Amino acid sequence: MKVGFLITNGGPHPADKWAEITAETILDMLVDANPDDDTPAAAAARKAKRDLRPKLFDVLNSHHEGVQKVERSTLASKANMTMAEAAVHAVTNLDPEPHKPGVMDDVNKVLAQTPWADHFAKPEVQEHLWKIIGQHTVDVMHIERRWHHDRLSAAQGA
Amino acid sequence: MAITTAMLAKFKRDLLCGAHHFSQSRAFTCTSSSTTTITGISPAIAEATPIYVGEAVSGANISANTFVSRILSSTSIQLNQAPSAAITAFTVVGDTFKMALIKVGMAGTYGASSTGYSDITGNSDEVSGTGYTAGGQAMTNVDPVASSPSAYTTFSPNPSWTSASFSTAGCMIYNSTQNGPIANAGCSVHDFGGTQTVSSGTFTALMPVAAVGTAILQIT
Repeated sequence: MKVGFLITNGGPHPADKWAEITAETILDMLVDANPDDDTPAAAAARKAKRDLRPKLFDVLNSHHEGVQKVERSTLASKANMTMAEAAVHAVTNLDPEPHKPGVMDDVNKVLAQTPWADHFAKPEVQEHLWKIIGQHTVDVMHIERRWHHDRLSAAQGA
Repeated sequence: MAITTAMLAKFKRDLLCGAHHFSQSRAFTCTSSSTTTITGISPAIAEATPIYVGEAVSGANISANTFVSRILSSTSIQLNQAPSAAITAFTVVGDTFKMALIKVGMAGTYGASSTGYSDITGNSDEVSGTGYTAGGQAMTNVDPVASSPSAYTTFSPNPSWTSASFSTAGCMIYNSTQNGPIANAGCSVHDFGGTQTVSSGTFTALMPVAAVGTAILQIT
């Protein structure tokens, strides 16, 4: 029940910070067998985890950048939104599903190259993966919309 | 003083007394009715589309403070008060839960024995600063999940404060809907592990993954 936090000064969280958080949360799912052992198997597992981190980061960075781009483009087309409408928009229809096929496909391609490919392919693990990625996708959308609301508020001197 | 991450003991007691509704918002249609008895509910009340006694009811012609007082059948409920005119649709929703942030250098001690939001206000321990409103941020409920042998719930999206400038050391999740002896009853408190400062930016509290063993609120 530990609550973490993400802090960004000067604006919304950039995609790379989201990618780090999402990647680390996924990596936390890996329970190494005997991680402290000085054995070839344990060393190989540690190396695989080290190698996985930057690959996951790249895929997730691209995903979160894409989500932000879509949100910003949509918000730009809604420049005439009232503040009340923007407030409602920030918390409604936060649906990550349209982004799911692309990012899950990319993440699974990376995970398929690891020693844990069979583990990650299990339906219940796939569901857990999407819980992590989907939640952060919702957050990215929500925060972009909140900043849009704040900008409207500032522009109207409210 | 200090914050120790914990689910509050009084929250556990209140759960046993049915004082917290975590259900998410859900819309139903019904046979036209202007009485307290609502029939022909669709979708039918079931595991995937539940209605619980005590949940708030809203919609056109439904007065404030209307709630579900009884479940009569899988397609019928009784409200505590009649609609002002006939209704053919309504929405049920659980309570409103909020996250309040605790300031750095708090005077109070927060942990399993805490009571609720009044602990924070009583000690003048709430964060103040740009982008933060007293009382904290309302969160959106996500239906609790039963995953044998456990049950858990979470909120989504994660609470975020934007255009924000403040420092904080922890938070409290509390129920701003009063269903028991005290208003703003606490659920849990969480230590952020030190001073966390945001400047003209975004502060997001990240709930742990909503799953058995990790979810923010769970009964195992």
